Amino acid sequence: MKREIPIMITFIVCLFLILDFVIQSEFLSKVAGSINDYTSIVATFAMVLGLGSLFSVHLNRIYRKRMNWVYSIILILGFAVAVFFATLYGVDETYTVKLTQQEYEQREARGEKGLVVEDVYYLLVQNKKMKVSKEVYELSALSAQSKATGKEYKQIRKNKWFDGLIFKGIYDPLQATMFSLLAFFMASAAYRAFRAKSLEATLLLVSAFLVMLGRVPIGAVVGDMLAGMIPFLGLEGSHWFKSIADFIMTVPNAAGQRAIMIGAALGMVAASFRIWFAYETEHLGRD
Amino acid sequence: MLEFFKNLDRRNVFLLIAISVLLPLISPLGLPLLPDPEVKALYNQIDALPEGSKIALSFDYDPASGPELKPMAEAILHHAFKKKHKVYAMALYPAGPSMANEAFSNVADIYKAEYGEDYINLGFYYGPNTGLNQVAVFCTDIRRAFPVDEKKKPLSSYPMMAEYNSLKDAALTISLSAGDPGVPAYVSVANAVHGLKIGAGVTAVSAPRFYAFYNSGQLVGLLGGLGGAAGYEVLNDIKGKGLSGMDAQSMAHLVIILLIVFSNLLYIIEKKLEE
Repeated sequence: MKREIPIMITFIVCLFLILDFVIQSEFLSKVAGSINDYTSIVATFAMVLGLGSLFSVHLNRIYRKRMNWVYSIILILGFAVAVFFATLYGVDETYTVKLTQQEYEQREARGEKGLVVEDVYYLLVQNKKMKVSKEVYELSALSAQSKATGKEYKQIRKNKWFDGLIFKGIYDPLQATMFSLLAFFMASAAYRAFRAKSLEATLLLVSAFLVMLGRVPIGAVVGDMLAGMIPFLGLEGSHWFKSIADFIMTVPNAAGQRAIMIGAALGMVAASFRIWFAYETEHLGRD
Repeated sequence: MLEFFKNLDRRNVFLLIAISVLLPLISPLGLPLLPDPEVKALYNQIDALPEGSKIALSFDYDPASGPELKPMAEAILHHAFKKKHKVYAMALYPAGPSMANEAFSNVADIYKAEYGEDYINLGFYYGPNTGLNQVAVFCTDIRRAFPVDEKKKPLSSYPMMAEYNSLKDAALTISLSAGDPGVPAYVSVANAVHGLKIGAGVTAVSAPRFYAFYNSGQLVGLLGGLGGAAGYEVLNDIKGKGLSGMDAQSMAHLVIILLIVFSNLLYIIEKKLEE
């Protein structure tokens, strides 16, 4: 049963999702919607599992002092600091602090910014106040005795530590830097490896040359220069590099991409059918 | 000499690229730019919508792709607010809501657009990496994905949410995507299953993959890389980061092409010498 039950679950879930795709039915749509929700929940567990695994790998590396173990300390410290500030202040641009009326008035007198007073609505149930939305409060079926209003005092503050320092000050520029480094390594790799050694390599080289010039404004300047230098080619206007680049992108490139995508999709359909009908059970583990 | 250039230290190449990018940023060249047809197509889609139309904008990127996708987001927001459209932001990337906040804070004030009336940031919806499940939920019931907005307030407290229950209520959905999850999920579910109009803004490195979708009509418009953002800025008559970045990108492309030509010349000379 250890294998049969997961196989049955897989079969039923796949069946509902496929039927929802081909049949218009409110019931099927609801079931498929719930399955989507469960998938999101299960995926969240996977995230926690991933974090646990990350921790275990790096703690192990620090304990055994393996190569570059110092970087593991930085990773765990970075993680701990981010979690600490996110727990204290949240991950948004601002965070809200509740105040008493007295605190509110003191801060207002000091001229502090971000002070907010909000009307709040209550239902009185067995002498207990239950906070409700304005829409519920205004329901005509409720008697005046069962309702009450009040005021809530808050201060909206800028999240300087998590959003300001960690996200915008460290994470944002670091990620942009990592991506930008691509340009440098690509240039170096192109200089070393992009050689016209065969017909295929030459075709790749020429198309890369044309697309790289055609996709940027300087292509028009170079195009103008070349058209003047080689008049017998009869190149008209300054945007002929762009026209060739557009053709390469929308015709041969699109055709190639389509072939790859259709091939991949057919492969995915075949793999899905194998999992659906339990011909493929690798995802259940080997035990 | 031949050996020196053949084994050129890569730091020299890095230096050349750095200079070619920095100089145009310090002193812009102002090269004229002609927008691509797929950029014009997205611009025309937004331009043709009646005033007050709903546009869903998915911020499916993080800071790594920000330099390419943020100028696109801001150019689209300029256009949408100018035409008084309502913008509904959501994200399939955890950092997406912050990216949306940044773009909104740079543009909304110029057009006096108000949060909750003209634009809203619904936040991030977690799910599997493909994004298919998340988009399926967006297409059926947006409140199931986002019971509250990014400010943690119930959606019922915002007037612009009164007639917005799913992506089907939006006249156009645009995904600004750094990869997966992003445009493929919107095309596969929102367009293929529900027949919704999808536009896309993607990084230059992933743009070739999406021309097939644009050609088939599954994407109504496509912005590819910084060039796409710059093209949209030209059509929108604004000078944003897309246009200023294109001079730097132009010079970098030119330097890379010259390096490739030079290295191939070296290769040919070496071959001749060997013969």
